[in-house]
Amino acid sequence: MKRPWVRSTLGNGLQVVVVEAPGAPLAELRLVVPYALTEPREASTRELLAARLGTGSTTLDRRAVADRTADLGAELSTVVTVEQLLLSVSVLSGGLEGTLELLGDLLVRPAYRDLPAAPPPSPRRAGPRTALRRAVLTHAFGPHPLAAAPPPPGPVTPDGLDAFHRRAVVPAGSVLLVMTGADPARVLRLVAEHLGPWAGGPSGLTLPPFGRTAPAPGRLALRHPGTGQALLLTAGPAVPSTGPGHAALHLAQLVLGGHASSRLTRRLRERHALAYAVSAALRENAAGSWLEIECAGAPGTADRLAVEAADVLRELAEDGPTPQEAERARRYAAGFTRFALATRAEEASALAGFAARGMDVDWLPAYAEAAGRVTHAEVTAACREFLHPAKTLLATADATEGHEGKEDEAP
Amino acid sequence: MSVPAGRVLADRLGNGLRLTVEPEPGRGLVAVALTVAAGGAHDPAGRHGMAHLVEHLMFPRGTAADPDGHVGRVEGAGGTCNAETHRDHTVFHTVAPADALPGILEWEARRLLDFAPDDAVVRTETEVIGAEIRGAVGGGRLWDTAYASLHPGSRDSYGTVAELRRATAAEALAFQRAHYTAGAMALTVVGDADPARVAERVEELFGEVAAAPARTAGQPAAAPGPGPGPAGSIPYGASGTALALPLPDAAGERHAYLAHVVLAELLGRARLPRAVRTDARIASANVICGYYGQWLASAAPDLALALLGRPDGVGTGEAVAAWEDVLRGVAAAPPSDTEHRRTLNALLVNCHRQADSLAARAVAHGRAALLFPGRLPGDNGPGALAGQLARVTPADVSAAARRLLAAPYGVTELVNS
Repeated sequence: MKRPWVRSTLGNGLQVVVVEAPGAPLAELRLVVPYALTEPREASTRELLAARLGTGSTTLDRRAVADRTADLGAELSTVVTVEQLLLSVSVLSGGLEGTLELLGDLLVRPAYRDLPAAPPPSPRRAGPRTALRRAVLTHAFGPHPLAAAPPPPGPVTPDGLDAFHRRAVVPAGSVLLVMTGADPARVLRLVAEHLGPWAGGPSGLTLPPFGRTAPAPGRLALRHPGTGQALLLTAGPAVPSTGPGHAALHLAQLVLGGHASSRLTRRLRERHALAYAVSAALRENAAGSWLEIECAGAPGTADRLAVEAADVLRELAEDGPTPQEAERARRYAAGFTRFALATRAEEASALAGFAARGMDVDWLPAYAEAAGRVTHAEVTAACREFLHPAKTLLATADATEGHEGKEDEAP
Repeated sequence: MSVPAGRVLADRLGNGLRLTVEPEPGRGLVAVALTVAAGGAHDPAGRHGMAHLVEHLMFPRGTAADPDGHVGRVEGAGGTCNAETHRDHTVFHTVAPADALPGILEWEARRLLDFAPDDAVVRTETEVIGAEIRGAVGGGRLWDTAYASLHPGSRDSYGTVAELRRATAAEALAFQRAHYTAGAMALTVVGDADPARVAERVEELFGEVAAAPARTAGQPAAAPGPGPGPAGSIPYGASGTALALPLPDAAGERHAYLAHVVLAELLGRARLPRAVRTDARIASANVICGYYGQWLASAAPDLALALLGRPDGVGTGEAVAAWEDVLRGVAAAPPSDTEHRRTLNALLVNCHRQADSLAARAVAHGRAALLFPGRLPGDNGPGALAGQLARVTPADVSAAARRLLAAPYGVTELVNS
């Protein structure tokens, strides 16, 4: 569904997008703030700030904030990704103005009280999934903050949090999206009134690019004693969603493992019962983009998972999809652009994400049309260019040793 | 048949199939849910997981004669589909562009009427279920252990692979024929759809489904006994205690059930965080209402789960006593109007979010029609829930706390792993 929207930039640099959703009982707000971990020693501060953001201001303590949000019928949550902090609010429509006022208070006059007396204990050894992901990123793209193990937690003080808030949680470079049934002009006025005094930025907290644009191929086998499942994770070449050829690659990814009737599902699940779920996805952030296959099987099956996945990649790279497969992927992609955004909450999050990446708010309908024009020949060409196993890093983690070259995971 | 705009069609076919159609124009999508009154509690003796296996087999794969299979057809129409096996029911749900609805209805009928798995597929799907269980074991172990602490002898709905490896295609077919009957099913359509046309097409497609009524579960959950159940233990991320607390019957005691939902929200929002700050016997505390955190998702005996983190040196009995002190506070005095309103606001936000999902609405309509029958039309679907919650009073919440204090509960020790 294509909704009317208006976009404006406040004097403090905050980009504001108001999307009309007539009759909606809830208003949805999404504040996207650049928040990449660029300096490992800031990890503890970054983590604690994200957990405490929105819980207190100089005028409201935690209890008062909770009472105020409950009075408004608002639900606040924060999520931290590798590159962003996302503050989400769902609020009964009558509570929108009060929520903007509260948000302004929390952003302009933050207060971080009652911090833990001691830093949290050092995290235990990374689990097999985390260890495998770090190993894949390091081997595929070279050393990068995304692939680094976090340093031991350090002490965090209220002053340290305040300073990091002033540096990181800033309007310039951030995006606020409001999806509401209220009049957009009035919403823009309210945003300017309550968030106009928020100042600072841009923070520059964005991920550096990977050292390599295409992943280094190969085979990596981690031994992780005690793990209850064998894991497969791959990294193959890709192009970003705004790049030429992305739509054809997207359809190739769907044929490979992007839906339940994909080649990988039919091979690994239906034919060999090696896995319950197997997926192929296009990963993308400011560091780079890559094609990832992920699945889990019974302990001891890692080599088998890798062999079968490589064989499916090879088949598609050499022979391409059938016309029926390409057509199914095309139609599925068209449907996905509708059902993945079927709720206003999902839609608000997606549109805020587009805006934060500098894309058009209406990017998705336009993309759906572009995907609809992709031909079978173009999908076949994308398979040939991107899916060849010789261009892919195939990595596994398993409790037992396989027959491939292996690497004991560092403790 | 004509249905006024915005109204929900609730009908039954001649063979007993319940049909609900809720027009929700404007999104270009439809959600279809087929709900079957057969779940894990209907597993035959020695075949734990048969309901789950049949759920998997209801997605026939592509063959040489029919290369797409069910999922391929749905995805080729731009849709997505999945299913869940619960204790007392199984639900198959699909979301697709509205123009795919005729095909979706046809394929739903086809997989019901043409169900014919072979032994090779039964063997592979059994191993796929094994992989599913391995992947789900973390969170599932807590809920199912807690459930069994309240209802000894109950089993999860995933199944036991060793038992399923002895299952045959003939057994699966017999189970499907016995339980997937018109009287035991509800079909729901929500979205850009014309109720009269849907009703007409459903009559044509599903009229041949056998008319038998739903069968009673072979292994109902045992009733909770008096006092706390025997404590089991499971590895967990932190040391603590999980208390399984019985909820009233969601069908027969809907108002009391919802009062418990409000109580759980009230405890989790304000009372338990306050207790954690002031009571040295608990390091953390939370309460989650409904099996797997979903309330009104089943008519089987339901529970809330209180998760109590224990400081070093504090025993289970002391943590439970701290929990009971919090409960006694609510039991002794109803929450203030302000606290009650704030609690209801939080639940209303949740209700509106759920109601915004076509798939969630379709599933909720199916459950309402099949699992909670006998209620007045219009008072039994997802649209009615906000009003029902609003009718819960502070006195009802206090009564719910008193009821929990008097009820048996199950105890599961959480061992820091």
